[in-house]
Amino acid sequence: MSCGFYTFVRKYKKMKKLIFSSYLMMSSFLILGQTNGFVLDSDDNPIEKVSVYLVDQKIILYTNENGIFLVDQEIPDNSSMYFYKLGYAAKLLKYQKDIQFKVILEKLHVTLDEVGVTESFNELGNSRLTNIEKKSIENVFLNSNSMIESVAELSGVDMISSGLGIQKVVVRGLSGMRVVTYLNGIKINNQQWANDHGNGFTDLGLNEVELIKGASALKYGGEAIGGLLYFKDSPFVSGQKLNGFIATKFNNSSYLSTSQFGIKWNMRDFYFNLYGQYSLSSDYRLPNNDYLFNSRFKENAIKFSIAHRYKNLQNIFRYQLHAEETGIPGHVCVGDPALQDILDLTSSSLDFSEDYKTNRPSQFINNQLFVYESSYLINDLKLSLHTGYFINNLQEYEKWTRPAFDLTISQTQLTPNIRYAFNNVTLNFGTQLIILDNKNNIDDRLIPDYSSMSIGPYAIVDYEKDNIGFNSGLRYDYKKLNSSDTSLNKDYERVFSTTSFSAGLYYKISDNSIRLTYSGAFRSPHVSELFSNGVHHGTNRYELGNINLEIEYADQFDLKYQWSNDHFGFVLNPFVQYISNFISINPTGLSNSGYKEYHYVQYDNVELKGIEMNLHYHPHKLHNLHLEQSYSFLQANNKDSEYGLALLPANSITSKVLFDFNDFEKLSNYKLDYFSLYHIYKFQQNIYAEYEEPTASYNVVNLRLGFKINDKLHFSLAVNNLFNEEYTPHISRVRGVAGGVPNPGRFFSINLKHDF
Amino acid sequence: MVCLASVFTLMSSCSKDDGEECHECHIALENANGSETMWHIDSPSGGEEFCGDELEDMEEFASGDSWVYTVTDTLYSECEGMPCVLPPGEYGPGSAANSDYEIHCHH
Repeated sequence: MSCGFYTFVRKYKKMKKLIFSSYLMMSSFLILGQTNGFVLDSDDNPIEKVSVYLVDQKIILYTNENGIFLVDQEIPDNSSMYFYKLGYAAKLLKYQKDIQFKVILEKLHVTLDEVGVTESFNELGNSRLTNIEKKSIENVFLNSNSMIESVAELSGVDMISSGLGIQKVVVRGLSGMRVVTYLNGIKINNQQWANDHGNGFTDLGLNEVELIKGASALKYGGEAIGGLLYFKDSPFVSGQKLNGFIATKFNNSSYLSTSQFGIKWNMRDFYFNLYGQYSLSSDYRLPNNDYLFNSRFKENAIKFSIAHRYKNLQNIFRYQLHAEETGIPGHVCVGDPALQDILDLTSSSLDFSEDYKTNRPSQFINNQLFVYESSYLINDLKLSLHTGYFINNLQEYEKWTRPAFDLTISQTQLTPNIRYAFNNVTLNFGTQLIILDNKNNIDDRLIPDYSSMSIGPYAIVDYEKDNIGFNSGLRYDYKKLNSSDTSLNKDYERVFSTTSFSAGLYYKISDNSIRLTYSGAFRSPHVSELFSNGVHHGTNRYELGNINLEIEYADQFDLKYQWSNDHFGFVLNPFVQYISNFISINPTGLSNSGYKEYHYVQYDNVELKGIEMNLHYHPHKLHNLHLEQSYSFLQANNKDSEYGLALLPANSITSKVLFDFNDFEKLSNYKLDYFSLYHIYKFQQNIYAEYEEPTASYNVVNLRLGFKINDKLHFSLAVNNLFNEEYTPHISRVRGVAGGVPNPGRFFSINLKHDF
Repeated sequence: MVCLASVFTLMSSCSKDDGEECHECHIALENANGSETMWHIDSPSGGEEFCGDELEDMEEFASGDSWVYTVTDTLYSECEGMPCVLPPGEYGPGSAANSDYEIHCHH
């Protein structure tokens, strides 16, 4: 009986495949003249909603319910096509006109894409040969409290913050000028030297971030000793139907309200994306139910991108405006911040008529970014040009009517690149030209007026064949820094130049992948480190520069080993980085203008070493359950001081449990989509700088329940800091104030997104 | 276009408030333990708060390196629960005897 039943099932399956194959052939016939393809799993079943990303055109297509996708644009041969869907092994292929694609994606029970040595498209280079990690931020609005919090979930990544208003990424213990940020190919210079100067943009309209941990100085490097973040906009869509989204979220900690919208449209060879955001937040609530005064913020942003394609030529213009008013919490007027009473910095209740209003001290920030991208693809050659203009205005007010400083940076960037691929070799040649001008708009100043011109030609070669690959790159950097500010009493002109080299080797055997990379990088001292002279209210310090500072040099060795089978994945990533002439800020023991005085010094020899590990377990009998754990261990040895380095994140163990309800019909009836549990354990930090103190260990647990009302409407409910743990991370902006101002206590949030 | 217009409207609301700012100002002295003692001062028009031009003038005045503020009547405050008095005299970085005093206009 049962034998007959199984025979029937086998015959039915064969028949289903036959019917499907016939359907595909018919479809192919009907859409003759357009290039099409279909995406199947390893059992020849069609896969729906696979993202088919036309990399060189920055256009995204999706497969339909029969796994079929259609390329109705005329795109050049050899354009890269990237096929991906969560739960499947991604594939990168070359487009060939009039050839029907049959793409097989293998089902993955264990996904290590974010951390592993996997096949993927990256702006920063070949991820199998370079230590590039990536994280999707497409749905970060729906599934997280903030973009930076989401990025900081990657092992080896942390954030300096004081609530949701000011957040900065820390990579392997380094931050500020040592972590370089790019947005759509343009370097973001927004006075990032100070911990109170945040990221400068939100997740609005962004799709993904790529990250290089540690020294890197090739295509986008130059000064990236700590790491490099490359944020990318969402791709354009194909098809003349207008689509987009509206989204909103709220939390009961700071009574934050954020709303976004996005529209995508395509008409013939024109493509258009438009996004907007408005955020308003009051002060956040501490675990004892008091509120951290002045942790409030407002953010507005608008951005759009227009693309035009004609045969092999593509032009994209992007514009972004981001305006921000951010309170600086934990501020003290005079004296030692550590000795302040926390009651002087907090309030016991919120007054909604007053506590959304900007107070003092505060930052008023305006960022505008103009990007023009042009590319021409012919056969194996791609010529591309990124041109950008970035304007950042930062006003920091401690008084009501007079800014303490008012700075405007204007930066022009030009990055031509030639990519040539033949056989198994890919060559990249290019240069990066950046002209930067920093002006004080008032007489009061912390750093002087200055201008700089940097140029960095580079050459990179990648070789890949079968399961082995090799990569090598060389870059020369020249930077000329000028300052004729009268506050210096003399003209300053200096040239910093050096050569950087990187190399990587990759080998894969069965389920094992291993990669070894070496990368060198340098960073010339920043003007704030050379010439600061004044009170910086964001840090409660009187800061003094040091004109004798020299270039910092870094050399990093990074080994990554990955193994995975159907149910278990494992990544091991030890690294060591040696930094010479490490620039640090230390107290002088004196006071100036009511604040403790700090000055910049340089250490000859600093060593950062550590290990990052990721485990992903997926029980055989419960395919919807994913258990992930990551370990970040970092040690810093300052061989020239009895003290450690400042702002060094504590070691941590992060655990995630994700349960997908979509295969459970009964639960789907309740519109349940997923459940996630996130737990982080931070060890105590006993490595600290002269002006810091050790920090205790802590645990934080967050829960999130996702709902899918239909394919278009999603929302999630979350409890953050479930056990109302009172903790202050070692790298919190307000760790040194009043013995450590805690992070937010338990709070609830609701996030909603409707696609149309 | 409606979306675009509404976002531009929102953007324009993110500039500094155009309304007249009013805040209290006080003379401040840092104590040995890092805390601060503050004495409230009245505005030239006699009010508790400094508004508009008065506030701007006071902040401008107190941002220099050599200002001197003259207290004509004794001011009273509290130091760790005890009354503190500030006798009439000259205060500020330009005064000979009381150069450690500052003026703040705060929340």
